[in-house]
Amino acid sequence: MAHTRGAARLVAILTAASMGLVACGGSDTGAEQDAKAPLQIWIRKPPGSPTEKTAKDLAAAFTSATGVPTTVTALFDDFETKLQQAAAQKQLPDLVINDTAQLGTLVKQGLVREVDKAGVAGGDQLTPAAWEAAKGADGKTYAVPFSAQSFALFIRSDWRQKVGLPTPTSWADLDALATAFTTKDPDGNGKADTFGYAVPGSTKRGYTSWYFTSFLWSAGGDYFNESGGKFAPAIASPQSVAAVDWFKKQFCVDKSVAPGAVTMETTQAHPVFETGKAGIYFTGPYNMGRFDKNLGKDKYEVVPAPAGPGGKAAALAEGENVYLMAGSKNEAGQKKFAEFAISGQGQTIGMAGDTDGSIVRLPVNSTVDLASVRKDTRWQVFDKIYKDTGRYTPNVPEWTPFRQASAETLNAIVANCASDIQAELTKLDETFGEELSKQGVAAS
Amino acid sequence: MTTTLREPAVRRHEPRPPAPAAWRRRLPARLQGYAIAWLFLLPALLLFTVFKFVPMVRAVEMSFHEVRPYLGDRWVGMDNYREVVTDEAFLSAIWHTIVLAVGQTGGSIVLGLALALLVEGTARHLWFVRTAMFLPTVAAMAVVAELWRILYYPGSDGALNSILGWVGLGPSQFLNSEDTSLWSVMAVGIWRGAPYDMMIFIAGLAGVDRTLYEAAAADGAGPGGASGTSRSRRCVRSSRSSSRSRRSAGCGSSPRSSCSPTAGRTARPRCS
Repeated sequence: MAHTRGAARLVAILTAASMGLVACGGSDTGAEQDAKAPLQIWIRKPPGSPTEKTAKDLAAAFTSATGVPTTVTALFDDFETKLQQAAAQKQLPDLVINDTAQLGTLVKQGLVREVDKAGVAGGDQLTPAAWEAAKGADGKTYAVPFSAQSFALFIRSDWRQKVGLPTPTSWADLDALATAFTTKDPDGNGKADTFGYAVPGSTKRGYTSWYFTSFLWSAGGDYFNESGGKFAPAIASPQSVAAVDWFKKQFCVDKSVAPGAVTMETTQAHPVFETGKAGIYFTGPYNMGRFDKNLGKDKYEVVPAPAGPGGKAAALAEGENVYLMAGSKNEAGQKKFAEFAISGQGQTIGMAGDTDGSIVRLPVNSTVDLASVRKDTRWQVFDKIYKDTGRYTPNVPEWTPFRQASAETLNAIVANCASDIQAELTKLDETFGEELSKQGVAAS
Repeated sequence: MTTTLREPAVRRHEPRPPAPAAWRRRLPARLQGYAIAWLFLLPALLLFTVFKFVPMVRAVEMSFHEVRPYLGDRWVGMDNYREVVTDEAFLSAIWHTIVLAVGQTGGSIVLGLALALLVEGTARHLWFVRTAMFLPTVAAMAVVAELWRILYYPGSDGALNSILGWVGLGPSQFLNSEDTSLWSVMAVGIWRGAPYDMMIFIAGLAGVDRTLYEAAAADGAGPGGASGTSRSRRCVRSSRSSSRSRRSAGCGSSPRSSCSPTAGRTARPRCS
């Protein structure tokens, strides 16, 4: 009995102690400032990759220009989770270079500082479109744009010539090419082991939706109808349904998608294209360096994705922002780094010439001449796509829940050939409506 | 620990021990025992407090807030819970977790027992086979996942699909279809979990006196015996009549194939 009492007493003490610790973990006030405090910089790139090296070069050039020491950490897998963990411990890095699409989430949680756009030296040289991607739903600016990009079709030109088809200019052409790649043995090994499309169709990070967005828009479909900052779901519209129907047909009727697509992230989809399992891959310019090395520059071509039936060509535009994180001991240094990163010098270092280490895909600084930094003319294709047809994701307060919900619906539709597209999309439409109300931007 | 606790009680009637520590003299005997016990527990408790209890309490506390580390958390009451329990995706995830847990545990036990019966014994080659079979359990999860991803490649030229193709089946989509994904994940779990269960069963089987196998062998028990009963059951049953059968059947006069692959080996020295 005495034993139990003792144990109870100890547990009580421990609980009280842990409560005390919890109580101590309350919110703090603004960090004490020190203009020479080292800056921690996180960038979403695979550790050990050439892109990590470029980021380090950029930081080193910044340090030698300003004398502010920096530490660069490249992280790739579960980047956002790790950022959340750092935030929970109030140990956020000073700067984060990450996708523009993360802005809403970061703003909502108060993890980033607002940026005084007019006060950013060199900010007037940036393209207006890039600044748009740094704007929160409340119209304020919460980041400094750093890199922009768009997407294009990578097509095995050697295969295309072998099956004797032209560069696709319509979705019908595209499907015909994909079917020919699947059935006509373009690699000539006598086995039916090639496919049309490589698709990163996993639901992780909303990949399915991310991949499909450009096609949805190209067919005249959309996630929302926007007017005056209010949004109404449009994912169950006839155009959206038609676009999804076309997507599903690739999986279920033509069977022109390389197997395993619905569980593939980009890291698994890249090899599908570069090892000759699929001949059409809709992806970004950052893969050119890699595919040149592993597949061969002469074996594929980069072309804009054609417009869908009844629509006009549109390509998802995205990019990366420099986020000035909350709780930094060196806010002046944060701003200085962002200014350096968007300067001509910073952008040029980030572009890394024609190597595969580019962290600036397309420069956001309009004074930087793409063609003089990069001799590879395929970059011009991406530049043109970005400028002509590039479109950022809708400016809702938080895009992530929409991207995730649509990825799960699309993934379920293509994974199950018996699925009812109209019913699934109507359900998604309802989910969108609820989420829009929750975020306070639903059109009444 | 128990010795320490009882020590003072035993010594009550004896002469005072020479020069006990000062704190020991001051504390009553019973408390001394508890103090020592808790002292031993202290390091573990401290670690648990820092790495388990505190995070647990904090997690529960956070669940009632909208967590915004730099803006101050906002109290939302039961909202987070309400959202989770009404979320279809969450409910189906929970259900799948239950199915997976039951299937994986049950499957591992059944397969583990089957494997244990197959490789039970003392022969040296069995030791090697058992080690090989145990490898999935100790292999790193990342390696296992990558390996099975390759095996499960859903194309007709995938490793498992090639085998299915030989018998006129497939190609299966494995992880890529709603109908097969859960079972595919479960199969990997069973493959990984069964060897561990097998070891536990083998440990249990090793506790069975080898003379019982001998006796059973002498009785003519075996997996293919007339009654068709399983080896383990025959073993237990024959143990009741072991003394009789040893006398009547004699050494080596009955088939040695049954009960254990090594039954004959253990019996041999006595017979020769």
